[in-house]
Amino acid sequence: MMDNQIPGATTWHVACVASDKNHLDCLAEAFTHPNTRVDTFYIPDETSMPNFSGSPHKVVVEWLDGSEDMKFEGLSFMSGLMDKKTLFLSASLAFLPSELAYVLPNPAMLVGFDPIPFLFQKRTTTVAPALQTSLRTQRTLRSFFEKIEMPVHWIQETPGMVMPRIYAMLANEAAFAVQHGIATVKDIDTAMTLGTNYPMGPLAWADKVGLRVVYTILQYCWETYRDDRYRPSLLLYRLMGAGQTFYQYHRHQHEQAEAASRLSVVGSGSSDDDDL
Amino acid sequence: MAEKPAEKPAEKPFVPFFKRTVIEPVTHEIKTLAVVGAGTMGHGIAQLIACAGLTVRLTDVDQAVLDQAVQQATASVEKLVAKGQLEGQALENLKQYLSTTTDLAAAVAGTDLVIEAVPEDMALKQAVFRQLDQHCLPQTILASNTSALSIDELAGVVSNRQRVLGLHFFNPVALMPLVEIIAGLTTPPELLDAVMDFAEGLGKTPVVAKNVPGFIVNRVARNFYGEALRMLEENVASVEVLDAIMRETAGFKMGPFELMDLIGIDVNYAVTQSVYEASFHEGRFKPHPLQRTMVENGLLGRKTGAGFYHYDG
Repeated sequence: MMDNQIPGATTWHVACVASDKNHLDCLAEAFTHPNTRVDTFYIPDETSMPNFSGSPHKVVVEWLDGSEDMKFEGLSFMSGLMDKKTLFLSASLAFLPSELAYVLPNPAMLVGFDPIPFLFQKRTTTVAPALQTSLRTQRTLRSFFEKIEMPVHWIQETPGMVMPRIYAMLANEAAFAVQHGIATVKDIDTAMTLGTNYPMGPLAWADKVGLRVVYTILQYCWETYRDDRYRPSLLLYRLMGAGQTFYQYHRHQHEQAEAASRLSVVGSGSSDDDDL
Repeated sequence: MAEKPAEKPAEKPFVPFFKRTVIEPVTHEIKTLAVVGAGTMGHGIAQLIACAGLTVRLTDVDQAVLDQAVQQATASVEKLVAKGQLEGQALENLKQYLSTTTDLAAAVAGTDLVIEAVPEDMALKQAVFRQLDQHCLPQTILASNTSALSIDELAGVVSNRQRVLGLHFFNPVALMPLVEIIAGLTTPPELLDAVMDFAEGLGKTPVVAKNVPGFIVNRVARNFYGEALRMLEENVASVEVLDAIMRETAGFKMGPFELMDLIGIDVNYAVTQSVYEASFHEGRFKPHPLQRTMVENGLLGRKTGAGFYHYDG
């Protein structure tokens, strides 16, 4: 599989940068390869930026998803200290590569990518050049992905990339269905996996990706297109605010329904009264 | 509640009407059934029930359709037995428990559950429900196998609307594990429980949904296609690349465009349209103009040899 590798000569020095420890681990795992040397940088907030001046990294894989300031300031700070020929692969779920490239001293060096497959241990991704990305950058990145044997699809930039946006829309519709009492979390996921052969129920997917990530994708689509179809559901917003998941909500609903059914059964004795 | 006044006789506490559920448990034993309509879904459902060892009478207005249905069911069960997906007993069960008649009144007499599976036409289904209302026992559960029509619109034409619900099987019935059980506004929870047990007894996985346009699957899946069509319009990538991204980066068996080609562009467009219309034009369900143009042009997918892709032969 790796017979075209020339030891030493083709090593790509990669810096993985993320604001979430799990995200960072997933990036590092995806970019680890005999042809790479990976360093990881955990940056929980904009005050903890490492000093990148004189860094040997040829590629920065960045997934900062805190605030907008953090994304732009983080990119601007890193690129300001690094060599002008450093390539940037930026997670662009709730930002377009073109607006991210704008903050770089050399905007031709940035390309957006979809980090979600890495959360599911899939070593593949979708990449989108910015309007400013040079052909040379695209060529270099193509050979980089070949060298590290990561299959990628190139697309034109769009809010939420392709797969995360479609899945987020499915999750949002499912969240509306739960919110409107149409069906339970578990039944919706069961229906979508058994009825249409989805690899994972949309709500389980949302829980795994993180409700904040799902919400920001929808919110960004909504702001960009000004189309009501992207409006995030209230339940998604509530759960995100509470730091909860859909499956926690499901258990909570289930317990409440059980308590309510004990209340409503007439003449069933008073043994349950203490619980209520 | 440690102590209660001993002298006071036990009184039933007041329970508001919306909390009055089962006071005396009603048992809905489902042993004898009828299936109305012997098309693809109808005979598939009848076959499933008979193989499980329950008496089922399949009825249709056309004797030829019934004969064909029995032939197809027998062939299907023989194939499934040969493949090891059903036990040998299934074939004997089919012969023993499945009967057919063109007399609807005779078919539904004395049944516990009737499953209506006539074509997806509200007027036709309502006509069948009026007949069922006349010929069934008062306690017979009346279920409609619909994927898109409103259960409440069917409940509205029978005298006891509390016995009406939806029972949405997926095609092919013998192989698809999911059944959507649809509750109308007046369907009581214990009826749902009884039908749920019945579906589990058939080896299916039931889920319960309220009667809303598209129920669960056809509602939640809308944007798998809708979003992909908008991305295609925006020139994000080609049909091939968008499909490949969904397969390879998320693990879908098929991408949105190859799936639309398989389902039929016309069928998929009709479902989207009906959900959109029935929800008073909810923006999330809005069809895409390309769907209509393709239908107009006769590009319906695999069945016409061309859709988003070309198919040889």
